[in-house]
Amino acid sequence: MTRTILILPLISLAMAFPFSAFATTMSGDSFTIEGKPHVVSEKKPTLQASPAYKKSDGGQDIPLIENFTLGEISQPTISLSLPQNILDFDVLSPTNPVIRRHQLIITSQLSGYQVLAFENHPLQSKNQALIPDTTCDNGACSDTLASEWTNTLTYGFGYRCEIQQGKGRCATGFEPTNTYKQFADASDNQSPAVVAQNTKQDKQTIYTLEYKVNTSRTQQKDSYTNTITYLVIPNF
Amino acid sequence: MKPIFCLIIVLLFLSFAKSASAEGNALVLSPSVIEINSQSPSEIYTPFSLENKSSSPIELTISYRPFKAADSEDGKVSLLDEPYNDSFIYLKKHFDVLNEEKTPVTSLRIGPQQKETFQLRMRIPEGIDAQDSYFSLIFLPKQAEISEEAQVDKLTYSQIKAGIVMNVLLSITDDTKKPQATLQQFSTPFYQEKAPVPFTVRIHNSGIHRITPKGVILIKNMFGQTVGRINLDQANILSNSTRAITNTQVAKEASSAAGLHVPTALWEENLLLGWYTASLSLAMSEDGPIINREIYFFAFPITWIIGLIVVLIAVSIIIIRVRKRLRQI
Repeated sequence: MTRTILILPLISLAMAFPFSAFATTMSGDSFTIEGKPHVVSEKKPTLQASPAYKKSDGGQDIPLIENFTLGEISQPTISLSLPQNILDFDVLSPTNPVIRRHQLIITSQLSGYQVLAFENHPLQSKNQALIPDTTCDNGACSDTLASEWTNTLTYGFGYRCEIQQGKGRCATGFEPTNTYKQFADASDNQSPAVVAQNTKQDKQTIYTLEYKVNTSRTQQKDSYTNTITYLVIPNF
Repeated sequence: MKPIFCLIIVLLFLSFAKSASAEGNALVLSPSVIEINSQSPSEIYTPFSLENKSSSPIELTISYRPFKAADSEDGKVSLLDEPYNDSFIYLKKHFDVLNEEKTPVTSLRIGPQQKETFQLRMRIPEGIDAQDSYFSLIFLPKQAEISEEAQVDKLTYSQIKAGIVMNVLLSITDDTKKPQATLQQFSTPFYQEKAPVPFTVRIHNSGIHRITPKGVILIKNMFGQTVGRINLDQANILSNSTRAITNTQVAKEASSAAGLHVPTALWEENLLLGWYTASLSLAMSEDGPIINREIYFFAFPITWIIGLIVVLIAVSIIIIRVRKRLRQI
């Protein structure tokens, strides 16, 4: 009696398990679709000198021109707020890293966005002396790869991104603390790099951007500057 | 005593002043994406507004950059370096931003806490071929002025600029070009243990115009009853690009959190058991065509079943032992 009761559940288990072996995906189906062209107006083209408007249900002005229609605007607004436009590292002292932070606040309606960043050149003095972009402790970080930077004998300029509040995400690599990246260098023809992104509607995300500069004793004492540009680009 | 106090206050003030930075900027752009269908020749005026939310005036430069869909297939933009192609260079000559006086401008000045409306004017010349043009209008604050003192004091600093971007999806259509699109993928793992069930729907637009397909996935159980419905988002698929279509913001979030290569549509259901049929109906445009595809999956909540079996075994053993003891008594 006991054996029969024990065997029954085991048989049920054995029957249940093989199904997982079938896990697969059905893909690769490809169909060419032909249909009517994407025509929005059947009227003959006419050159319009000035627009006319009508009020939409939402009270917005919708231009009326015979030759085109303004598509549905699915992502009405996007906004950014940058509390400061100068990041002051003061007078640099060799092997004493200087860290500065500021916030970047972004809101988007309906869809997401990405934040790209680049520098016009590495920190540079009027005499063309440079504070190079950091390569981090292991020499591996770049404008796309983040790496740890804690050693005070590692020199250069870098940044990291953290989420203070909201549903946005910083670019991959910033998850561990003390990881930094270089800015994409426009003077070296590097394309702007993604700093943060969001794939959804977001009331507000507050990003904290942290910058770090550390110089060697051989670094010439001077005023070093550069310009960092952020671009907030909505998704389509 | 008083001078010492004054000196301390002044020193405090000075020390604070040194760490204070110039005020940044706060901008609101509406709309962030404009979709236009036009014909050649035509002249298009599209209003947009920019609001300066900061307490100081802002001057913005305007630049145009073509873009394509990013490889992530989720609607992200990939900016292209100019010259992108001759057609865009030609078209760009016919684009300008007009201020309220209808005068073309290359930079905008907006007062503090002011909202101003501008117009993007696009003149589509006669005889231009049917095509799509996707470009971004980049509004970038002008460089802040730094005092000479900073350089004398050997200060090191970075200037920070944050620009905002408006995407324009312009389609110049004619009556001859038909939309062409392929369903690259409609799939789900064959075996599902629990909800949500992810569906990957990837559409490739090989036509010359962007499309916004409308789709729905109906899920039937083994008895033929419709037990689920997923309304897919209507998303723009640019010419010569592939996009993965999702159903909700939650789906996008879950897909990205799971590290999936492409976003998926999700079916939320409490209990899954047995064979299911998922039918996708997709209309590539308002005038069709419609394509239908079916896939199958099997759902079996194995963790629950194992738990149930373990409980049954435990209960059976207890009953047997209790019976044995009762017999012995």
